[in-house]
Amino acid sequence: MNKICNRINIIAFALVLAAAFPILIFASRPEFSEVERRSLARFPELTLNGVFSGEFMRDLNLFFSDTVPMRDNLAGASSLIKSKLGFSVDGVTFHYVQNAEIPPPIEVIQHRPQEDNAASQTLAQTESPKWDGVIAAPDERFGENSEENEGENDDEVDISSAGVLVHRDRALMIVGWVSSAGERYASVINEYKRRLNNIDFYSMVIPSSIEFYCPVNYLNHYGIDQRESINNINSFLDDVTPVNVYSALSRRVALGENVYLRTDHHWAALGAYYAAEQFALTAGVPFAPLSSYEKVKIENFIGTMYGYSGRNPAILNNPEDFIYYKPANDYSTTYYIIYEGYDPELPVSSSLFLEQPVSESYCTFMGGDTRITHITTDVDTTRTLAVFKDSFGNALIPFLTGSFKEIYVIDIRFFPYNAFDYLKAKGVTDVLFANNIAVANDPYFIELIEKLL
Amino acid sequence: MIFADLLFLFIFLPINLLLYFAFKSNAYRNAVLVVFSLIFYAWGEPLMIFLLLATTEINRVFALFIEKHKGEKRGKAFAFLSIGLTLTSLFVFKYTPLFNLPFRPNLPIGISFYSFQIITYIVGVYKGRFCAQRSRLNFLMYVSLYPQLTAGPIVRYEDIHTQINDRKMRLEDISGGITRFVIGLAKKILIANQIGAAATSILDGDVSSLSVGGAWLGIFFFALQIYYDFSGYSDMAIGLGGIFGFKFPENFNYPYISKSISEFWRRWHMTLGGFFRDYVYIPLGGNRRRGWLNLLIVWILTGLWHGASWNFALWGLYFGLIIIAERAFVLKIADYIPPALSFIRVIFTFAAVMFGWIMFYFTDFVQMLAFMRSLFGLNNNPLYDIITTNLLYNQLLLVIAAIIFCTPVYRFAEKRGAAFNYLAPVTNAALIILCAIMLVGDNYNPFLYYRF
Repeated sequence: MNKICNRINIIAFALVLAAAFPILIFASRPEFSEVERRSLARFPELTLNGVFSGEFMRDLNLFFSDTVPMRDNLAGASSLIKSKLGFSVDGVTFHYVQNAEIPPPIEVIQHRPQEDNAASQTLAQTESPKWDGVIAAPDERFGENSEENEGENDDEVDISSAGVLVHRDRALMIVGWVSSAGERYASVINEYKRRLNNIDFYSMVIPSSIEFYCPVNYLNHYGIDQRESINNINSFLDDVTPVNVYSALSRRVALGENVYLRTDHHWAALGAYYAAEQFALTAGVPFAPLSSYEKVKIENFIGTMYGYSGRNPAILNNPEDFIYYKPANDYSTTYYIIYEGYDPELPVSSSLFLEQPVSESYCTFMGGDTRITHITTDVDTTRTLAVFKDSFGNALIPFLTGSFKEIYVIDIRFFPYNAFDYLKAKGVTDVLFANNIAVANDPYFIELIEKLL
Repeated sequence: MIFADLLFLFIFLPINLLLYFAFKSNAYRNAVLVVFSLIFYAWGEPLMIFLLLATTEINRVFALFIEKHKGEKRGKAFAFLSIGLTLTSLFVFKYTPLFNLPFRPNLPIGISFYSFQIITYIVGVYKGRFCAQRSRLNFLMYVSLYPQLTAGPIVRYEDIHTQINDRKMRLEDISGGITRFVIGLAKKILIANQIGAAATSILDGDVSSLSVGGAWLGIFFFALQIYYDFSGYSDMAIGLGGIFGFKFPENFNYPYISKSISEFWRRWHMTLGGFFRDYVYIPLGGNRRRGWLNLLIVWILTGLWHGASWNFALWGLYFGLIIIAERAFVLKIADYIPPALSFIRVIFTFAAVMFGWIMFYFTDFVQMLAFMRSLFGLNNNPLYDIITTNLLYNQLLLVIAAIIFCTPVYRFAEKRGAAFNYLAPVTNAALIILCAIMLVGDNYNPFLYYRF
């Protein structure tokens, strides 16, 4: 390089540093990432211990990199660049697919005789309250010929997954679990039933969307048979009635209905409606048709999977409509907030649907998870329902206001009381465990449920 | 703190450069470098800085004794004592995990590098190659100089001792240093981090279920990752050294175009290879007596230098045996291959290196063997699968670029293309901005050699 080029090179380098320095020091730093839906790192507290252990510097590094001005925009640009580094095959791209976490084949240990006849596959039987807990194999794998896919899990806690598979405009979370955990999940619910024998217990294990939308070429790798996993759990239930939502959901997927969100790890309200319908049939309670609900549409929704997929541009560029349904009957909602700084004994009257930023539309149902929700309805019945759920269960609740006199909604992660005492004190007649399949197979969550009793 | 970090790039480095160039005198500049080096080190290891300071001061004092008693038994004793203490410190802090002892101290960052640098200094003073450094500040600067403190290259005292007090700040050195630094940054962030994420997704899993193609792709990705990661860091170190007026030795010279393993090790981590050659192999007798045994000792030590785990010893032994075989007969056979077909030798060498990376990557021998079985289809695994195809296609352009830049194409363009040089300021600025963008929100930014 000649002298002039050297000078220009040095000046250009100095200018980049000189421009970045004040921006990074003085520009306002974001505190929340809309894309990742999480609070960003805070400036660490300066303590002598923190300095000597190196924790202060580590946290300062984290704060600095986590709260870069225009963070979400820059991270989006970074993802866009990454997406240009190669090509997709069959419209599929991966985001941190950890081979290790691909679940092993589920061993279905049937500890009691099961009738596995073809008739149990039929619509009539799956909708029957006397369903034996075994989801029979469908004639063909729903979704195999579909050109779409999607994922599962929970907010407010770390997502346990084996990565994200993006197929065209749909992101699917790859679920990982251990085969023995399902048995423990069932035994924990059995214990609830044993201790509270006069209450009717139901177990609804909600499949995730990868079960129905995994591209056919990838089925051997990521098309984990969730049907078998649910059968496995159900086979261990004693005096707890399983609710088969798998068949209803798979049928609706095959019909092309949007029962799962494309851009979020949850299901859609429509999927929750069909699941609630199955529960109502199983529990023998009235159930209002979808036509009686007020339909609310939020446009341009981009859910959690944009962040989880490493900000995949295919998700960003294809927002979807978030649709939910408001029941027509009369009901009132009271919240008990289980969160730092709130008094869990203090009732807060509010709406069942709480308006949220578009990207957090799924939290419209009761405002999320960090609360116990008590709903009283105008339904003429003596039955009181308690729902122990993860975030998937939130979408179910609006469809049950026409079925029970009272409903207590309990998130398994945010419940400070003893479940035995609580359920007795509230005069609960029915308990529904409504959790997605990853939670039902995750020892961490199972232990949480166990500890509540 | 690492170089490929926003805090370093846009806060630490600008302040350091500003203060450094605010002074004209080398003495003040050295003081600035010491202060920033200690901050840089303490950022990651607040307490271990005392070990660094103690080791430095003890060896500085010992070197003065050694010089004073040059040619006497006492001088020799001090030299042995000094080297023994340095190696003991290295052993205690780095290798106790090998023996399942009840205490397990934290591994101080960069101890493998600064211990070896100190040894080159002590040996140099003992042999009278240069005078002992009397200035505490200057010697501390040599040991703690942050561009090369945590990840090399291993800079011998004789490489830079004249530059400590008397270095010229030339425009072309600063400019060249900037370009070198930015190239290293780009190698690390744009290539190593991206390919590394894919490598991890393959290798950190149930390796027995991998397809044959998946296993080969995984280790191929890792081979690219570790080269771009480590050579990128060395480039950044050499570049920063250039900006500050130092000329550090080269550490990589396109190792993946080697035609033999012996050549590979003359091109890969050259300062480490040079250290073991000059400070272990030759003192052991070189190839004049017990040549094969000396080679095995050196290569096992080279392996263990990379970590306190037996897989590294195996990795070193693997290369030692290949080099012995090359000296005995392999190279003689290979010489029959006509120069026009020398790419065959490159392919075989690269395959042998890749196989070596398996021993390097897997610290768990069960995992290592399972992976090797997958590599040759012995786990009843398929030849290839859609996941492998997809992972390759998802970053195909990057992989092609990574393969191209493993060859001296850049050096060729730099020498032959005048326009290339004129574009350097623009490409450097663009690359540093691009790297900064890629760092935002990136949760995969490891540095593989950081803990060695």
